Amino acid sequence: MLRPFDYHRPRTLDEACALGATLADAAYLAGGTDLLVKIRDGKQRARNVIDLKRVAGLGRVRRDGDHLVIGALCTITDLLHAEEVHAEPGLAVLRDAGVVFGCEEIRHRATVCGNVAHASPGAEYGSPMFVLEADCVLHGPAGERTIPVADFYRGPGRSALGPGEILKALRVPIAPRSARSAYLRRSRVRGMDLAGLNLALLVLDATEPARRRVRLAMGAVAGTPIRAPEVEALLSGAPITRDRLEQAKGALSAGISPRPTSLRASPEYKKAMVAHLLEAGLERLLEPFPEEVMAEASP
Amino acid sequence: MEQRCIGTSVPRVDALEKVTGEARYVADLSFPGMLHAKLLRSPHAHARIVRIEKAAAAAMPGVHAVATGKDLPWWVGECIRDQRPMAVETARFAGEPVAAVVASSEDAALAALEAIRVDYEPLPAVLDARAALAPGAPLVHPDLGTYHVLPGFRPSPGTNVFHHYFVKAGDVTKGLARAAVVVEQEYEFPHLMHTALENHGCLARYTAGGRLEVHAGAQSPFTVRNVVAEAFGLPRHRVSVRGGYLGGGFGGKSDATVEPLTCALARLCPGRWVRLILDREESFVGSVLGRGFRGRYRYGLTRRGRLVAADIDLLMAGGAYSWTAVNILPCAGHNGIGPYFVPDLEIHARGLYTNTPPVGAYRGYGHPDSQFMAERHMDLCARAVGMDPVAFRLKNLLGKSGKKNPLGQRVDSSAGDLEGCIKLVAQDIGMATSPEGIRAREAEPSAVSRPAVAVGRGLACLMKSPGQATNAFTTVVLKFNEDGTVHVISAVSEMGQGVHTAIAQIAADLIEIPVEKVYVPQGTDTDYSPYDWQTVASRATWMQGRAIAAAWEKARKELRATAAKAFGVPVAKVDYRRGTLFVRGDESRALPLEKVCHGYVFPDGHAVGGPVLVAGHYVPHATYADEQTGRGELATSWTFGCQGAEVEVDLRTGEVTVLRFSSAIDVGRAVNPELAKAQVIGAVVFGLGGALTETVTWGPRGEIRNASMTDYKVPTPEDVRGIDFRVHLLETPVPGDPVGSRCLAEHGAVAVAPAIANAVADATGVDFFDVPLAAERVFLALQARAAQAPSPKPPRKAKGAR
Repeated sequence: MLRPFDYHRPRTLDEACALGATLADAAYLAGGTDLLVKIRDGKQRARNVIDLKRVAGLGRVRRDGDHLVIGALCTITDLLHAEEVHAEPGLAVLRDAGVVFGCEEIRHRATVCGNVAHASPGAEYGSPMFVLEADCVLHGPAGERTIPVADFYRGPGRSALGPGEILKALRVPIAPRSARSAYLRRSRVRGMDLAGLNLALLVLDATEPARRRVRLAMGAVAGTPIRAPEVEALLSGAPITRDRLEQAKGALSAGISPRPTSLRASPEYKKAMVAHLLEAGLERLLEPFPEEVMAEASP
Repeated sequence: MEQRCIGTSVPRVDALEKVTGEARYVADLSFPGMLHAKLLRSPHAHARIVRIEKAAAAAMPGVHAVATGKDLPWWVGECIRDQRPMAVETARFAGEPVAAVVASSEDAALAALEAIRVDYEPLPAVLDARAALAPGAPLVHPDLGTYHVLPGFRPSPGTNVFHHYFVKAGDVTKGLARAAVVVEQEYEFPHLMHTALENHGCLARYTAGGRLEVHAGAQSPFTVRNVVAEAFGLPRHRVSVRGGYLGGGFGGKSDATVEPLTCALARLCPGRWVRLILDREESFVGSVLGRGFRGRYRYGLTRRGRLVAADIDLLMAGGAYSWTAVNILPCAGHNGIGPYFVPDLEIHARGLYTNTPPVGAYRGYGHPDSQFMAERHMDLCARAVGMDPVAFRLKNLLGKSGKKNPLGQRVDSSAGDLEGCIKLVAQDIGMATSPEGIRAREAEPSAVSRPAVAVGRGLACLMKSPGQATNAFTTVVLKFNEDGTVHVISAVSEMGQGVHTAIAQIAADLIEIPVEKVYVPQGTDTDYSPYDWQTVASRATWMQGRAIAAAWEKARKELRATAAKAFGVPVAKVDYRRGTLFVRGDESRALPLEKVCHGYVFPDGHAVGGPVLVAGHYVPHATYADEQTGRGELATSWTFGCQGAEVEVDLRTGEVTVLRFSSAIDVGRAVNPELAKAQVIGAVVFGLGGALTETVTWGPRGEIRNASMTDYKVPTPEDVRGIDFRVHLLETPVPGDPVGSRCLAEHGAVAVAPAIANAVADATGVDFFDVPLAAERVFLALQARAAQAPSPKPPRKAKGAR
């Protein structure tokens, strides 16, 4: 049952931050789809809930030069409908993640920044932000600062947010149109479920094997989303042959040690499935990919 | 008699109320001055309660009462009275209530709960059936020998066995010794949760006059009345239980679960309504679980594939209290071989107390539990003698030749056309049924559609009888109104299954009036409603139909008597047809029903007869099990069928996709074919949950780790929308039955798991002896097999020896 709390509805960001910094057991609310569940389950004490929905300047989603700016109030549905996202193959990873996010009702309510701010290791938007190398814009009582998303995540449910700080926006660099991106995951059912594990892929210069750069990040295999630099190196700058692919898959599996207590997938299954998702993702993104592999594989 | 209403798919009588949100459920009820109860639950599976400090909670604002088990010194239990409303001295499962707060608001109650301190001394716990059976196992109920027990049940004091059902025929030892081939395997059907959309809830009040009033979200208001009246020593007429619509039951609301506790708490606050509504997470530990069976199967066969002996040992982890789990054991037991003839057999089904939440009725009531094992075992046996699974089943079928089932009942073709069901299903999913077809299929190369995917087919038979008390009466009242419309008053609960629509149709059909003239009032009130034992066991439409026929027989007699006076002829000369009473041989002398059913008024104003109000009841002939053989009339009506699946297994992920699922069931007569088909498909989807994704996940200390919809994975529309569901309702007449319908409700859930597991084995060559066949488990099993065999065979499409 939802425990009682005091509800605040500030009009400005500074007013919100001041409330957040001074009130006891304060929590910011945007969509509330994580927060209210945590309060209900007793996992978060929140005697004061500060609703950000009336705060000016937390705009939804817009393009700013070669960046996509996702404001604190941008819902999953907003992002799915944003033309700025549709046009960019490098941002397809954001749409892929949105399509499998919760259910229709939750997508209308939940925000992208909220999803990142809760720092859940398997959050749908964790690994995509890692491969996109997004920046987090934090606004607090002491002003504004910008940090890379990889520095924002500190551990399961722990982030770099200081007292009163709000994740005001995510600034996502938009890759050139020669990039491709995808988000893949395994879940226990096809309907609404949390990801047992997920994998985000961004491939720069996708069609030119010699210049190609692969970035990948995994969710729900460690305390935060993680990149795999050695595997990225293996897959970058040369044709992806069957040998290289198998090597990459092996390295990816060997490089993770998921906790054994997950209800969503065992370590053995996660290790096998990251490799599977990597192959499936590359198959999807790199059209000549089967030929590259086939050319090598055929006697 | 001309039939007009049975067999047509009239719209549901409750549809408008439900789609408009007008329908009210127990959690919607609110009364002035109502109080709210919240429960503190034991975190330990087994612990002595050393001390409970409640004074601080009692002093908090809005708190009316704080209770511990000692404050509620009553005994409850349906078959074995083995439980208190809350734990006294010993907590026997993680989640058992140890203290309760009754307060003016839910918030106040929750706040007070946090102020209660409980000191526990953890005790050794038994968490599964085998551990509970082991010599020297900790006893869940050391005082078992002192409990009140209903006749027919056999708890064994000094052990954890709360009931042992067995049935014997012939000599199983000799039978197995003579068998050319013996196939043995162990199976498991783990615990499941019903997850009805509506959580459990109850409201109760002690009136100033000393009556107990209850609003229950219960499948069985009369059973709730019995249990609470017995518990508190109240005469039945001082207890009223009201039941209404249920947002799903699936067996989880047939036991009295939250009701005795709510009533006990209401005793502490006389005059006030006390409301207890569980939340989703609580309903996993605060109501009942389902299944929880293990089994060891040993069959003897001839080389040519005839079953000659069956030795079956079933164990149920029944949880800390016996509830109606006691009654599941005979059902699982005597159904444990499925619809096949075996001359020498012995089946044992033992229920064990374990330090886990109690097990109760769960869609199928023992039948899916043991028939999962039996139907998997049939495939293993077929393989062992090199036979096609369809041909093997057809060869050993019980029904056609009028042979005896384990209970000693002769089952012949009038019980239903099971062979027809098997053939329809086999055809649907692409399994051959004729010797020529089987040979042709064996000759096919093992074609696989795509390298990463394996396709397979499997089927399983089902049989089910209602598992009910020997005196499980149902009653119905026909109340005729001034205009010839009829109230059909019944205490069966409408929980989404459409029974009120079926009742209206049967009454309209028998009375030969349009269904629009029949009204089935929603809701039960034990003060006014006629008795019904329980809305369980797939029995309601079947039992009510017969009771309506009995009632109509009386009403018709009364109508003819009144009409005879009106016509001035002997009763024998009056007949009734299609809403009209008339003089036989002179049909010009006729009166419409409405002129007679509320008494007849002569032209001079004087009246004869009276408003027709009749009751009809029904109970089938049933007996207790024979003490020596376990045989007897434990099954009072049989429904047979077959289910089959075509599945696709993704070898890269282990994911099982059901392409097609076919069910064929001989229902005698479908009262409402569309509702019947919907019922079957709903049950199949329910069964697919248990077969593929659902299971209760236990922590090391006996706690449920996935007690939420986040991690207990029920199929959603997304998961079933691609499945080609096929349903065949066969209609072999039921001899001498006024309505002609057999039981149909849970049946669609009975053979789903074995059909899926048989199909997955066909696709991959990997045998599963338990469920769920979740992607991860299938993948890891495929990997383990690949590791064992250095040169893995390509995925199989056909069968053959292992």
